[in-house]
Amino acid sequence: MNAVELKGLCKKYKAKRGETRAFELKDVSLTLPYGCIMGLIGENGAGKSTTIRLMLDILEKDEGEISLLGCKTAEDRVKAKDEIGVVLDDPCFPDIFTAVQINKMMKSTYSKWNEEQFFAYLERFEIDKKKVVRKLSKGMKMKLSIAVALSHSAKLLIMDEPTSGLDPVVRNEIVEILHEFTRVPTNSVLISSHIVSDLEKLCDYVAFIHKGRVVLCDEKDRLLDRYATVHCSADEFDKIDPSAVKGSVDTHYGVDAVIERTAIPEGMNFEPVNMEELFVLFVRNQHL
Amino acid sequence: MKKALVNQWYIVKMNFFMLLSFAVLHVLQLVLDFTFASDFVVVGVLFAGLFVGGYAQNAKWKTYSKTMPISVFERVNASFAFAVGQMLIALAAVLTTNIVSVYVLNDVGAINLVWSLVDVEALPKEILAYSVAVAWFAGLSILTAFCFFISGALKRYFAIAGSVAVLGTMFALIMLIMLRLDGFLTVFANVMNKAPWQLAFVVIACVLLLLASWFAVLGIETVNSPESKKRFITRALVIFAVAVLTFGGLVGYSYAKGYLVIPEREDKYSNYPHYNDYNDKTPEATTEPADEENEKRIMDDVYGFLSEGMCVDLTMKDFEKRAQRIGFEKEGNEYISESRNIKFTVEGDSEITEFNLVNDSSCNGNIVLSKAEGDAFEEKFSLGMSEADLIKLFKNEGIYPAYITEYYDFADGYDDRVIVRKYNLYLQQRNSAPNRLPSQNELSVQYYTLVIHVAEGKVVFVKSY
Repeated sequence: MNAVELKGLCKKYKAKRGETRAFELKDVSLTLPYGCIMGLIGENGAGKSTTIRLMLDILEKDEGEISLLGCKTAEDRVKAKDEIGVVLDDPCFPDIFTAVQINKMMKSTYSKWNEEQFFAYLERFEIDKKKVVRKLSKGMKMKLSIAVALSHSAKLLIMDEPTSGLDPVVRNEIVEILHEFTRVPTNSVLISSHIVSDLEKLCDYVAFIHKGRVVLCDEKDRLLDRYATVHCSADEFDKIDPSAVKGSVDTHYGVDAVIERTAIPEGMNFEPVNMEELFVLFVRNQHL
Repeated sequence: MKKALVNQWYIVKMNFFMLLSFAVLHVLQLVLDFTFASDFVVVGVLFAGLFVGGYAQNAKWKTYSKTMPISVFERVNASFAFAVGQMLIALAAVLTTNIVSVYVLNDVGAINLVWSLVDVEALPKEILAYSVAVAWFAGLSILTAFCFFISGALKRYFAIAGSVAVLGTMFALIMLIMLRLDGFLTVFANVMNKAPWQLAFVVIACVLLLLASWFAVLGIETVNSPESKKRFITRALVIFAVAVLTFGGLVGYSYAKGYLVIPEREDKYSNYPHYNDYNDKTPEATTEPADEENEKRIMDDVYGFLSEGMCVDLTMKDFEKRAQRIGFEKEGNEYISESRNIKFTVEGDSEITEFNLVNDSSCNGNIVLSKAEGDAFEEKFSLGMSEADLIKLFKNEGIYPAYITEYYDFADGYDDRVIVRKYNLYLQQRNSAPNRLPSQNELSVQYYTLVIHVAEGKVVFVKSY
């Protein structure tokens, strides 16, 4: 069983004034098994948020299929949302509410709302429950969103850029919380970010989105095993099978490239790739 | 439904202060006592109607609420429940403030208190009323704009554009109210009076409009189900068409039957003490022989009308309409009312330049009466009294200036320029409570002009006209 299944998801926006081309999300297909964390990686404007908004029926899809926790129609997904915790990139609670009022509101919205857990999270995050939302810092607002998402026994967390704009300490804390969440074997997380280092710590699966298309989607460990970074001269680089090269960049000392390990010529030095290098060089390659 | 309603609660909270301000300003309006209270009820409902799409004010929250287990039906129903609730709150605010001001404030003399705190007695009341109305709407508009801003719903430039639009709409509404709305309400009342069964059609059309908008919003809000979207929008359009046809048919039928007669502007005219008596009577009824008291009443009214007609810069056309409405027949430049034994002539091109009472056998007429009253007051003035004493004298005699025009003149024998004040005065009606300003409904139609020359702070010349 999969917590999330997307098949051939498409969405085309109309071109805004001054834009030569309209953004289009094309044929996005993803599968997130239960108990796993998937990271959606992409630069700003790649289509991560659009994908998430389509999944949550905030936007209307043009084509494709969406299945969340096994629910395939929009009507079914309304019920499924009782078990889906959502954190959007911009904390959305009304500015004039306090955490106490948000608790009241959520208690009447989610069938499994856990008041004690919510207040425990508030205490842990050191959020003043009597302070109105507009007086909270961005990090605090994000933590509040996460507290809400984690307090109604969700089985699936969908998070859109929860760590952007936050300091490293808070980001680390969020990573820890998500690790705790996925200790329950049936809990899954889909998280988008352009801060690749955060996702590297977290994810079991990664999907690279670039210009509205999924260009790479696989298990993180498999990707790291499959690719490596080489630093070589231009002559040495020319000997490598071009189809194995996922990305390269010319430097003062030669070429840095991410290539499939199986295609590395014998005797050439290589290093394990990290997600950030893989992502950056991959995107550069797509631009070429 | 319940949970969705709870999710809308924040909007009520957000708009609560706006409703509160509505109530406060309404009290102010009543205290200042201008006469279009009924219009404020209508505008209150209109204003509340601006918030029919209340939750749309907060796009971020609206987006987030779509991630919750709330169906599109629950969301839309909650919005409508909210809208209806808000309208009811607005109405309740208006009714409460009406009741409070009528039954409480009047009794404890709060109106006098306010008038004494704010030294506005010297100002023409109409200007005050207009100013307060403008301030009222401007205040609400600014609050609306503020709500747009704090809700974070709209991008800033939309909020600014929206605020400007709201302000513009509100000012347009002021004009509408001042000029026509009373008339429309009268039309409605007239139609209902003659054909009360039409009320059923009005209710049906309103319900249909509500239903149409409900389907329209459902259609707009439905995501990822093109069939449902199309179905809802189609229903909305069909029901809307039926509602329009119902309204249109009603208006057409009323017009064909002659029920729909747009009345003339009669805001000032309707303030005459016995206007309603005339208005309710058929022309034949007014020709019945009147007893002495009734005759006096009629004469007072007619002369009041004539006096008013002379003094408020009416055009000839408006004057003619007014005269004919109370039973005068026009022959050339003569206006004749046989039942009242009155005839007068009016000269002028577009505006009245000369007015002559031809037949005043039963009474000297208000013009003369006013002059007589003016003369009586003239005698009480002593030359050399201060202007402050003059104002006191006015008050003691129950006189309140309606219009004051001021100009300067040079007179021999005085060092300074002579200030000439031309007071157009209302005489307070006898039955109004002492020490309280008369409401517009209580104002007598007796009306005359007093010219006062003031030099070196002293009254040097008084003349009534």
